[in-house]
Amino acid sequence: MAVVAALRDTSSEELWAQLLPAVQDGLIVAASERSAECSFFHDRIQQAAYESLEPQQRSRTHLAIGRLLREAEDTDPFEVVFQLNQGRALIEDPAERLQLSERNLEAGRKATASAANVAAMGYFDIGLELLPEEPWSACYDLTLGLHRSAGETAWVLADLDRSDALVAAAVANAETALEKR
Amino acid sequence: MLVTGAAGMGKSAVVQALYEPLTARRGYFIAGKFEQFRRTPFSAVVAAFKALVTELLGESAERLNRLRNDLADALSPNGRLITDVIPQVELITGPQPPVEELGAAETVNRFDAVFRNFVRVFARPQHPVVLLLDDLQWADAASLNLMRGLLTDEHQSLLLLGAYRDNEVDANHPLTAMLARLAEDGGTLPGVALKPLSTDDVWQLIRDTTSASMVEAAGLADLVVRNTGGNPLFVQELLKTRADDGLMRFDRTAGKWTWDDLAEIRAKGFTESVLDLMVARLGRLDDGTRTTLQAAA
Repeated sequence: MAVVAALRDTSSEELWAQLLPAVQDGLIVAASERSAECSFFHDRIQQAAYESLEPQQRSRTHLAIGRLLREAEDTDPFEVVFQLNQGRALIEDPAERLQLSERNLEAGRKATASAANVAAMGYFDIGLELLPEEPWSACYDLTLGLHRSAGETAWVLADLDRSDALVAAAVANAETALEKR
Repeated sequence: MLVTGAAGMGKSAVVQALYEPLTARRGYFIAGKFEQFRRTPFSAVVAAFKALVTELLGESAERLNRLRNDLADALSPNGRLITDVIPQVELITGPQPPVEELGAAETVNRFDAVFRNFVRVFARPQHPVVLLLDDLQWADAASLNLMRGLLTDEHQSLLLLGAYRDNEVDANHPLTAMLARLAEDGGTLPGVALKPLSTDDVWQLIRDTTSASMVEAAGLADLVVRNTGGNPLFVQELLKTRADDGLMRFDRTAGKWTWDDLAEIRAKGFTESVLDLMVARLGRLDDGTRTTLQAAA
């Protein structure tokens, strides 16, 4: 609820006033009166609320949540990246796109280390997607890191064509003999 | 143990019943729930252990010290694998050094082993752990593998509870594959399948709550079951709404609940399912309330 209050730019009192009709209608359930802990009465209510957002508006909301959580401590490490990724189409600032690409590389590496390879591949793919034009000259280390990690993970997931293509791109663009190995 | 049943069937209530006997034994009850719109690796596992760490931070300095040593013994030199996924653990262990890079298969095995050791630090005979992973129908593949690892581990002090909606898990679901692999390895998982309430159950419930006569209760029970499919959550909600609407009232002189004829209760729009009705209410909320609910969703 703290996140929702920050997102809606309201105090917790105002937020509660806004939620009250939904509590009275039984759509959401509060742990206690004026509680900061609320849950949807049923997933179908949550689903209906989520899907009633236009796709554009949904991305904007995810992005805003991601930007809020980015500044907060104590967040689930994969959550910030998830929220920002959902809204990535709306990020225009090249520096912010680059930073999110880095976050995806980092999240992907954490996911790989914890044996979450399918999730890791998703992060690497989005990291690659967020790279600027001419990535090898614009941000060499990040581009190499993403190609390498994505190539390895594709191999683990038995997507050998994809793996070969990524490794070939890395080799073709690598600067030093050591990195070409 | 697996607790299965459709949404609203009472899975959480069954699980919560374990809570009290467990706290009496000085055990830990930790829970996490997978979510339909937030698919991140290990989300429920992270939530559960985050809560446990927060609780433990309130313990005495002496216990925390012991815990810090136990964690160092169990995790070293791979503690970073845990703190990367559950950063709150760092509050006890302090920052962890990077881990050695391994090949793919070794990486999977290493994480499995480190996570098992991590759980063993908390789950001990003197304080057993019940770990509830709820809504497994939305779990990610990595969490399911982790679960399988914990389940094949001989563990006397950990009770792993999984709850999910069996009606949303088909033959192609990763959970089905995980359970099949577990069975191949000789792992058996006792299950409790929760079924809808029968008309008799609801009849009993209405008689007990309202002190109505058998005949009065029978008519209402029949109506309630037809409109709810016997789903306990919906039964409860329907009766509550009828009371809020004044269609069911408590008669103080008679000391029991009364209601007018059933035709009136039926006429209040109960031809649709309870949920459709609630979803329709979403659209009638004012903008502020709706936007807030959308953000929360």
